[in-house]
Amino acid sequence: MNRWIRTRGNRAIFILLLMVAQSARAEEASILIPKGTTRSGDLVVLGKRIFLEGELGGSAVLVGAAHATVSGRIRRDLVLLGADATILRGAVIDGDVLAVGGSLTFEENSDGHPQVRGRVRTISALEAAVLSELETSPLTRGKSSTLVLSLRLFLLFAWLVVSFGLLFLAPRRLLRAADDVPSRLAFLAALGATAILTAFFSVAFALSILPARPALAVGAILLAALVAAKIFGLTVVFVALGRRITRGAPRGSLLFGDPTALAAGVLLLGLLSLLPVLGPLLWGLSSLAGIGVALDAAVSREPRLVLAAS
Amino acid sequence: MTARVMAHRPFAPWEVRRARAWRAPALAAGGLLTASLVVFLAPLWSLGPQTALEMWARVMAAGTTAGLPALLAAIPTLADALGAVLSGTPGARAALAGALLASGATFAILARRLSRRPSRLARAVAGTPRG
Repeated sequence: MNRWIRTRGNRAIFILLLMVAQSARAEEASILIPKGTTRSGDLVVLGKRIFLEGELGGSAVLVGAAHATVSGRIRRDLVLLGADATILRGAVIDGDVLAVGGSLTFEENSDGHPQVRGRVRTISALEAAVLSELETSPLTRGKSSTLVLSLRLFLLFAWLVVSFGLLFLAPRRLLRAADDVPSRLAFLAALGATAILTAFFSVAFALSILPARPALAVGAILLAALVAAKIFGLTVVFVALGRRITRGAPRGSLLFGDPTALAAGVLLLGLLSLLPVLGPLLWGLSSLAGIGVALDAAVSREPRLVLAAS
Repeated sequence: MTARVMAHRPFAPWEVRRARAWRAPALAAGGLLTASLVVFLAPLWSLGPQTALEMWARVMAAGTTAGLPALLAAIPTLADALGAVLSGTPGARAALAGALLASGATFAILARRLSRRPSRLARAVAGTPRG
C-alpha cells in the first residue's frame, strides 16, 4: 500500500513536471558555465545539457531529460527531478544533492562522496534503506511475499487500534456521522476528491508565488488536515460498513454494538484491500469518501441535544 | 413490553464505555496481530522465539517508520526545487491558478450543497407519519 501511494505520488509529480517542462519556451540545447566564471542565483534547467565548469552562486535544479556534468562549484543544492547528473572528481557542492527518479553518477566511486559537503539523498537510496532492513531477515526472496503480508496485517491492526481509540474518545460525533454515510457515499467520495485536488493545487500555487518555507508550511497544514480527516472519516466508513454485516445481531450477543461493527468493517475492507489492483482501488475510494465524511461532520449543524416530539 | 423494547433498542453511544461491547473487537484485534506474527514467525521459528520476535519487531518498525525521517529531511530541498521550477516557468503560475480555481469552485459548490442539507432532526420530523 505504501509503495502504491509512493508510486502514484511520484507519477503525479512527474506528470506535473512534464506539463511544466513542455510549456517552457525552447532555448538552446546546452548551457555552459565556463571555468573561471561565476553565475549568481539559482539555475533551473528543463530538458537540456549543462556543463558546469565554473561557479554557480545558488542551487541547480534539473528537470525532465536534463543532464548535468559538474566539475566546478555549486554554492547551494543540486536537485534532480527525473534528470541525470555526473559529478566529476574536482567538483564541489556546498549543499545537498537530491535525486528523484533520475540517475546520479560520481566519478570517484568511493562511499563518502567528498565532492558533496551536505547530504546525498535519492529516492532509490530511501527505498534501499528500508530494503536493507528487510534483507537482514533470513527470509529468502521467494518468501518475501509472506513478509509483506505480515506487514500489511500489522498495519490493519494499527488501523484497528487507532479507530478504537477514536470511537472510545468521540463516540457521539463518530456514530452520528456513520448514520448518514450509506445513502451518500458517492457524493462524499466526490467531495473528498475535490478537497484533495484543491489542497494539491493550493500547495503547487503557493510554491509558485511564495518562498519555499512559507509554501511548505501551507503544505504541511493542509496535509495534516487531510490526514486527520482521513483517519476520522475512514473510521466512520468502517462503522457504516460493519453495521451492514452485524445488523441482524440481537442485543446481548457477541456481534452486537458499534465497536463490533467497527472491527467488522476494518476486517472486511482491510482484507479486501489485500487483493491485487481492486484492493488498493477500493481502499483509495474509501479514503476519499472518508475525507468527505469528515468534512460533512465538520460542517454538520446537528443539535447537541435532541428532544423527542411529544 | 418494556423488556421487548429494551431488547430491541439500538446501540447507544454511551455504551462504548461498557467492557462488554469490546469483547468481539478485542478478539478481532488479537486475531490480526496473531495472524501477522504467525505469518512472519512460521519460517523463522527454528531461530528461537526471542530472535524471531526481535526480527518481527525490527521489520515492522522498518516497514512502517524507517523511511520517514529521511523523507522528511528531503522535503525542504524538494520544496525549494519545485518552487524554483514553478516560479521560473512561464505559464505555470497561470495554469496552476486556473486549476486551483476550477477545483476550488467544484469543492465550494459541493460544500454548499452539504451545508444546505436539512439537519437530521428536520429530516426525521419531515419523514415522520402524522397520526
